[in-house]
Amino acid sequence: MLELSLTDINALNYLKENLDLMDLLQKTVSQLQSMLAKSVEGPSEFRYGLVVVDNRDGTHFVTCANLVDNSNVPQLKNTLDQIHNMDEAALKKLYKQMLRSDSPDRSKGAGVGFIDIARKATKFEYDFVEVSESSSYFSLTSYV
Amino acid sequence: MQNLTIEATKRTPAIHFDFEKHQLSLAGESYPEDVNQFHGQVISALESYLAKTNNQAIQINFDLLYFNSSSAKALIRIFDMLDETAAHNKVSIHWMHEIDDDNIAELGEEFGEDLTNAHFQLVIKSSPEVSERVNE
Repeated sequence: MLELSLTDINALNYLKENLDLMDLLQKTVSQLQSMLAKSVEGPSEFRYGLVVVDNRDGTHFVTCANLVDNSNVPQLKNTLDQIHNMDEAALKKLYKQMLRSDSPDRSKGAGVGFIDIARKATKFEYDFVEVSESSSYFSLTSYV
Repeated sequence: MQNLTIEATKRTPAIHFDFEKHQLSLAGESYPEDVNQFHGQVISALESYLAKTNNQAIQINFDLLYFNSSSAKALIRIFDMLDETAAHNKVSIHWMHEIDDDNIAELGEEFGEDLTNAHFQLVIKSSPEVSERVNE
């Protein structure tokens, strides 16, 4: 399992001064790791992801991106579309529902990675760009 | 039944379940490599203990600084188990948090608000006073 350690002391201190950003970053990395772990047996290009932390017009945001198999895009898009449309109350309800669900699929995780991000961020955007016959570039940006 | 004591590691909380005194505690951080392996044993021990416990006053303290979503899944399961047993035991849950940690406090409240029988209380760590949020 991937472990993230921040060795840049300036970056670390910066995050400690911006706890909401640190929290969003933590959730994003966790979700990305979850996605990458699922493709660990597939083609190597699916095993890499990237995370960017930056500030635009005074607002912090976190972006994560990775390649996904085209066959997974519809379900992923559907899940994100649904989550994107939910208000705080609906998200909380779904979050707990997922936590309590016993689906065998969830042997390693809880399946709430995107919900976690959606609940923490003030807003989020995502995009899928087909880059080949078999893969698409998926990116997700969430704002503090 | 033997008490359950597990030392904390970087990624897993310290577990101290004193089944004779009916005092249980989880403290530290929780993001184990294998959630089922770690929390599985905790839930299993809790299950065995609750199966044979009646008319007791059970005190359980959660003192967690951080936990990932897989651990949240285990925690909600533990809360559900505690609420169930509160039908025939007196269950008191203390959810500890640092005075400025709204995140952990909020997460605890979310777990606590689903309880119907067990008693839930937020406890601020830095002060001896208790911050009370009693569920209805």
